Amino acid sequence: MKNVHRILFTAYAAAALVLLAARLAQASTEETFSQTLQAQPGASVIIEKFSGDINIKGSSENKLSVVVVLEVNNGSDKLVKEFIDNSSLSLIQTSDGYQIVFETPMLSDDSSVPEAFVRNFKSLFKSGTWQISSSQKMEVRLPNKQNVTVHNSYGDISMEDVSGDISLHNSSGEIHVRDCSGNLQSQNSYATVEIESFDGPVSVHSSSGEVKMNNIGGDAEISNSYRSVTFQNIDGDCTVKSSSAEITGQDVTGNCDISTSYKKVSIARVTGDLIVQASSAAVSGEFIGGSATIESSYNPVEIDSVAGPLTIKSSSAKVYASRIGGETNIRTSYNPIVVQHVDGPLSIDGSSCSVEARDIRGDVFISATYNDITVDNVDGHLEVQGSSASVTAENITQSATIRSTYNPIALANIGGDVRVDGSSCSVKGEKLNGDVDISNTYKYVVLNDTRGSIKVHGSSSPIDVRVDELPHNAEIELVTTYKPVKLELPKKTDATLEAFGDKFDFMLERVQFDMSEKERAKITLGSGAARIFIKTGEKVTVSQR
Amino acid sequence: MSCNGFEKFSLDEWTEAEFAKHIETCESCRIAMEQDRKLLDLARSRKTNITAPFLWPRIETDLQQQRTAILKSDNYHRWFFRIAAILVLAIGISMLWFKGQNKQQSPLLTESTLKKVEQLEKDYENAINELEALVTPQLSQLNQELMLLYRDRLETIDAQIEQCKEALAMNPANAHIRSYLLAALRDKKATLREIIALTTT
Repeated sequence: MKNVHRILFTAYAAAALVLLAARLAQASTEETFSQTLQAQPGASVIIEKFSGDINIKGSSENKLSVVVVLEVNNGSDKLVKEFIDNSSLSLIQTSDGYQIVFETPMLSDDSSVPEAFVRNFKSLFKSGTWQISSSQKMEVRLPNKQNVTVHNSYGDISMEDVSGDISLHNSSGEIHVRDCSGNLQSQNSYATVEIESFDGPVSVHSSSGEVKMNNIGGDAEISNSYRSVTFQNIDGDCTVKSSSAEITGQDVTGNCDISTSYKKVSIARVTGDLIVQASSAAVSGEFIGGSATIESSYNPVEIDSVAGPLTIKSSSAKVYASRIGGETNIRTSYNPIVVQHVDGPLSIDGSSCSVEARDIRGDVFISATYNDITVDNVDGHLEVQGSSASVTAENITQSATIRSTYNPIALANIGGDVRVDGSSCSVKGEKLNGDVDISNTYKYVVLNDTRGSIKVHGSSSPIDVRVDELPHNAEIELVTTYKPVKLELPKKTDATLEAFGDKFDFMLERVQFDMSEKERAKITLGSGAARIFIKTGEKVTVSQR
Repeated sequence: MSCNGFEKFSLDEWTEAEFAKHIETCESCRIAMEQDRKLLDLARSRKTNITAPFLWPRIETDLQQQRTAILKSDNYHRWFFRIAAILVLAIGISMLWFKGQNKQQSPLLTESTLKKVEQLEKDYENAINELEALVTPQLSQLNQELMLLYRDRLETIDAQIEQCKEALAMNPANAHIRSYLLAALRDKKATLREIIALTTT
């Protein structure tokens, strides 16, 4: 029995050893190459044609130290050994530093690798019997102040604590730079570039790779294609040129210039000017210290808090703009426009848009069609050129000029003159402090509390006017056809009234009548200073409060 | 695999929702999906290459010493031998497991993993071929700007796929390159699906 146990345990142990051996037989072979030499701060280090992960770290020591770990598998022992034997690490002195070259037979163009060996490997590739795979990674330690150039592929580059002119070229591998300074140029494809804390200008070109930047102490330039771009804390100008990437950025102390398409752009807290060109993209921007210029289409544009002027050129996009410190120009179509709190003139060109404009400290010009136009609280002149649009305007400190068709026009509390051209529009006015000039057709004109001269030319339009105050030499001219005219005058009115109508109804004091003609009445009120002319084919009613 | 549900999903004949419902009841497709996910994770997890330096040499030395000691003395208590054997077995299994885990994060794929990854790439390529046949005539239905963008994007992805394949021809088990090839294939599949979604809405 004892023997059985012993045999059993021996068998277990043997089996374990066999399994381990089998496992290790499959494992890859690793070889480490290393070199260290003295290096001067401010010199240059170039890494050429590496293919694998590279980690570069600056240190306070004046040494250049390079370690490459090569891992090879899937080949016969002899082939693997030959492969490793023919791989080499060299630090070649250049005029201003060193070039790091790591070569394997796989990619060798170095004459130091025996040609026959390379030929042998290449023939194996062609014959399909090549079974070797390799991977290498490089660790580099160098003085903090050093110019670094890297050309790499199929591996990630990471760099930390290096100051100098840095140029990183990578393909199919990520680039991570952290706590570095100087001047960074990075070119990459198909993988993420991440820059974290770089004191100096940065330029990143990443075709089809994501780009992330944070804490950049200089200008930042980014170009990529369709992967997202995010940036924050850029102490300089920031320029992003992308073909269709989503772009998110914040805290830029200089100007910010963005171009992309089809994906969302969100920018916040830019000290300088913001320019966004983003066709078919939703755009949002807030807290812009300079001007903002947005070009987009089809998706909403939302802008809040711009210290300078704002220009939005869009089509088929909803626009919302609030708290703009300068002149504001907006063009879009087919979607609502809402603008409020503008400290400067406002101009809106919105074909088939509804428009809401509130709290504007400057002149307002609106051209829009087919939808509602609402304007409230304008410290300046208002001009609306609408077509088939209803117009509501209130609290305009200066003049209001409105043109529209087929929809109601309502004006209230207008400080200056009012001019309305409203074919087939009803016109309602209240508290009109300047002169009024209205022409319309088919719909009523109702004016309450006017304080200047009034001219209404309607066609088949009922007219109802209530004058609050009639200046000494004012003129009132109310002309229409087929519809009645009703005029209410202040209690003390000095005017000469001439009226043509079908019927007359006068409720007046201190008057002299001349009713010698059936369809014409001439009345003098008080001293007769102002001139009132009424003409219609229907009833004329004139009264005094 | 007895069911072709996973294949249908890979070729976009089934939506994600349809497939999710299907794998609630189909064990083989659930396993295939899980395997697919693991392979992708495997290809991606190349960064943290944990190594255990000198672990095997130490074990080997211990074993050697134990073996020498046993051979030198027949009087060793048999329990010592048993414990040693159990230890060897336990360490061996642990080592196997550890190496297995370690291999998943190695920059080089083992032969079996490589075959699985290559199969996965083929599945992607088949799905892409099916989708391309649908997309090519539909591209012209997009507006010109969008069409040019997608064409440019597909060209970029194709160039990436080509580059990765070239590199893999000489370095087939390199996990990094494989992961980028897989990423490009996935990207292409997603892009083609985007185009189909755009042209059908």
